[in-house]
Amino acid sequence: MTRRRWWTWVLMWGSLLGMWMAFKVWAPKPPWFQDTAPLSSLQPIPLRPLTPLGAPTDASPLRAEADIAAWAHLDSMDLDMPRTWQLQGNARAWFSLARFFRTLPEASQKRVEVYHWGDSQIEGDRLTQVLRRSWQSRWGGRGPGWVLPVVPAQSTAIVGSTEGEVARRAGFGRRRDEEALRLPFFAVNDVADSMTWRVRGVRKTSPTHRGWSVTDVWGDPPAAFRLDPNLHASPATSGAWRHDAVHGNARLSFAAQSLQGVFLGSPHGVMVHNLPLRGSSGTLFDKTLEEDWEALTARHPPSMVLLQFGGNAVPGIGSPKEARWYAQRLAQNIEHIQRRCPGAAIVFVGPSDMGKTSEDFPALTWVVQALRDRIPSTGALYWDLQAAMGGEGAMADWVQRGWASDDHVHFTRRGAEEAGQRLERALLRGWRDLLRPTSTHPDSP
Amino acid sequence: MMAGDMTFTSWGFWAAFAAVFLVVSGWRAWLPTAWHRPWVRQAMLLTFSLGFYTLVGGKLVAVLLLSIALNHLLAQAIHASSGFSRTGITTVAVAFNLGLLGVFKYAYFVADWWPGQALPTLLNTWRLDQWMLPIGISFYTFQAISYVVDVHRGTLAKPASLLSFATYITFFPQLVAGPIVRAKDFLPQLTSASWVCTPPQQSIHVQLILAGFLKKLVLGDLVGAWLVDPVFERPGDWVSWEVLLALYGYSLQVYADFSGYTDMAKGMAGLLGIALPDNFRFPYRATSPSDFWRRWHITLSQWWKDYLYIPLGGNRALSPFSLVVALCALAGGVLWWGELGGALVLVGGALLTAAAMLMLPTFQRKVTTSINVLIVMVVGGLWHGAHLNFLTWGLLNGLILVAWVLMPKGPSSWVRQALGWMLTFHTVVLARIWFRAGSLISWNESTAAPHPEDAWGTAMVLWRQLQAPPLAWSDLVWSPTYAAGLALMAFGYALHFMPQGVRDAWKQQTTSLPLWLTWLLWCIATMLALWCSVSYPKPFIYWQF
Repeated sequence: MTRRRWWTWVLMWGSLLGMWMAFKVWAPKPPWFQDTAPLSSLQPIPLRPLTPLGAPTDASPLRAEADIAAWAHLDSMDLDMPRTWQLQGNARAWFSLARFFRTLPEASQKRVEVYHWGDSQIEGDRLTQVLRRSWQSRWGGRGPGWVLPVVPAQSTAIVGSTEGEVARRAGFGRRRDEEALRLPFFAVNDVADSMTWRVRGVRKTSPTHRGWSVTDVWGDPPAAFRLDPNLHASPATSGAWRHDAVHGNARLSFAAQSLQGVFLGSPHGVMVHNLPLRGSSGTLFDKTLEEDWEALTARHPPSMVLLQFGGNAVPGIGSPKEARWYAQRLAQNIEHIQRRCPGAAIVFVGPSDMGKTSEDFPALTWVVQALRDRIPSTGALYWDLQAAMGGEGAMADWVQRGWASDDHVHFTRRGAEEAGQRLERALLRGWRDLLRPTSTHPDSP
Repeated sequence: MMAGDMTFTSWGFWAAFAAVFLVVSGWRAWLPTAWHRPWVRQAMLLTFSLGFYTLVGGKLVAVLLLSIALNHLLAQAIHASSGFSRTGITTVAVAFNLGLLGVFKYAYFVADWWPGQALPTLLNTWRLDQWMLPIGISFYTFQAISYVVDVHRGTLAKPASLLSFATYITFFPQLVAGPIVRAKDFLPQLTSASWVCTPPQQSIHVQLILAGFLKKLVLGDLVGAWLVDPVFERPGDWVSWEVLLALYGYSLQVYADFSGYTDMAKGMAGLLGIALPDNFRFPYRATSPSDFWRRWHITLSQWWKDYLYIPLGGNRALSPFSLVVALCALAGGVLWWGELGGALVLVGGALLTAAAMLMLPTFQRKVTTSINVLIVMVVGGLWHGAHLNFLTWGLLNGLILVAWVLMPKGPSSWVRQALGWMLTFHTVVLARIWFRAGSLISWNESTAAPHPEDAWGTAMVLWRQLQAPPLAWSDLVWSPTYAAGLALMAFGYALHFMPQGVRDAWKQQTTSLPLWLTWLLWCIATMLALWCSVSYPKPFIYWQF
């Protein structure tokens, strides 16, 4: 038997490994390459400076000693951030934010509810989840909040399966149905005859997703549902049911009805609702029914409303004038919400950066500029997501880091986590600046 | 070094393998003749294998060592005993291995379904989630079970030495994801003197590695990233035919990924002088469901047959265990139905079946086979993972097999074969909705894959989407990567269904290539495949099982 000399193998292995290493170091990556290096190895993207928004406001800082004590932990948090990450707003906006944060320590006695409406960027509980996990961990509260059995994209907060005929109708999007324009999802689930929904919270995304003890079904006709008898439910106020904490599966049975939402929560604590409206530009709030707002504010009044729109409007906008018109429409919608939910803090999250280059979506700059000009004057706080991502062209970096998908529009889960954390830090930073008169005010030059 | 750096597609792994290969193939030239003993080679292989596992699995190497030590002691005890005590020790050995698998692989499955919070709280207190699921445990545990049972049955004349046994269990090319090799086939190779392969054999092994590498990186990772992952990430966004294409794409991906791994494992083992068994034989050409399982993951199917299906009674009789399982299933069905009428239907049907079995031997055989097959397939599904998705996947495949068993048999014809192929291929592909949704791997986190707890929901949304009306032509978005994924899938299936004559002719050509040319091809293909890859090389799908 002939045998190969060992040094020929050394040569062959050496050539393979050498070429491989050289290729790894020097070869350019193909256009579709996606960097999936561990998150810990990534460094923050350098942020670009934001043009100042104007004169400082006279927001009224509420500096009660009780507030300082309840929020002492803010001192140990790193809330230093570039201006681009910070909120902008007028005195009214800062006042409502202060009121919201002052309410949070009271969440041990009552429910504090945050509504996060947005486009497909928040689908599947993206961004919302970060706030819910963080605030429920600190201030209490259990459950994912408002949910629906049939949605276009699975939420990571719950896992559910339905038995029985149920179909979704939406009041927005390509196949809109005006009659389905119902709060809080701007969509309904039609139960034909009867439907059973087995649902449980997903522990991995947040331990607080399990253990909810209040179920409230908003449907027409009302009260057309039955809870799992093992849960020992008893009626609570406003038609909701108190029951044993649900750590596993819960079975909810529904009679024929038009279902607007199912609230899975707790009697007190923070509830953060994820309400995605895929394809919407956020201009339908003033087209919803008055009775729905009455029911919503009576049963689950919002303490904060987060609105995250703009991305869907960008492709259809052809000039700066159209962008200003769009911002004006949004402002009208914000004012509509302010009238229906007086006292609620409203934070508007602008569109994310989009496209491989800034030429892909030329209208994005106009829209962002128009929103920055118009929204703060409504009494809502404005948070510039594009700037917080790193400014124009940041999306390409995010895609490379695996924080955004190949479509250069939507965040991946890790990207949503990152954006959500930046949003939370911006909110906390705003609040800290109100609490600490000596620290730099968000709008100070 | 991180575990992720030691996959079969990483530079680090191949640098380590090159060192192992040079040492193992060169030790005869470097060491004095007195050292030319099989145990020296075994010790080298064991050292490298344990080193590899430590890099991949970290501190969980302790579980592997515990398994080796206890199985070795128990095998010695089985060999030394007879009669009842022999059976007793074998039972203890099998129970130990199943217990090990149960604790490390299924604890959370049980915790999730456990009434109340006691068990989940306990598990969380111990922080088991930080270190559970030792990599490759399903594979090495099955090898250990087959070893002790073979010692018990006398298939192995005597137990191996601790060194040989440890080398057998830990042999690194197949440690993590098989093929599951039997001791009677493996151990003699360790002591054989003819372990150095000839240059033509070396060429074949290098070609196997090359083929595996390309399968994994090009047909596996690219088709997966471009055609499959987007659908499973946002299942609600896709309509029926897009979901179908993703499922066909996934079937190619999982085959290319797993058979690519197997090819590389076989090639590496071959270069080290060990022959590993075949694990795949063009599974998608199967003309019946039973034929499919004779072609797919062959070593595992054979394991199930030898150590579960036959002991259950096979196609001849129902063992007491099978009977108990069937009665439990009947009771479960009655409880699930929840109405007296339903209960009467089920119990009446069962009694009628029993009566028919007593009167008709052919029918009895079919029912017996069906029950045993269903048990094996459900257990086989759960072997892949502690999740309802895998249970469903196993059950669906079991039902397909049962349907085939119960179907009247006729003379073989091309029409029958074509129909059999259609039924087999498409049902296997469809059942993979649950398999793919269940096998979500942490590396995929960056591409927004849902968490494993969403697996059932993802599968159900996809099932619903299969019935969604198609979009208008103008609404379709043909991204370049999607089109490229489709083209690659078509290419992959064309290779798979290539006529045997063409394949043989191609093989004839390639086997005559000199090694240096094969090597050069490997170098070029490696660079191209790595350049094409959509991300850092992904772990193999079957590494998670």
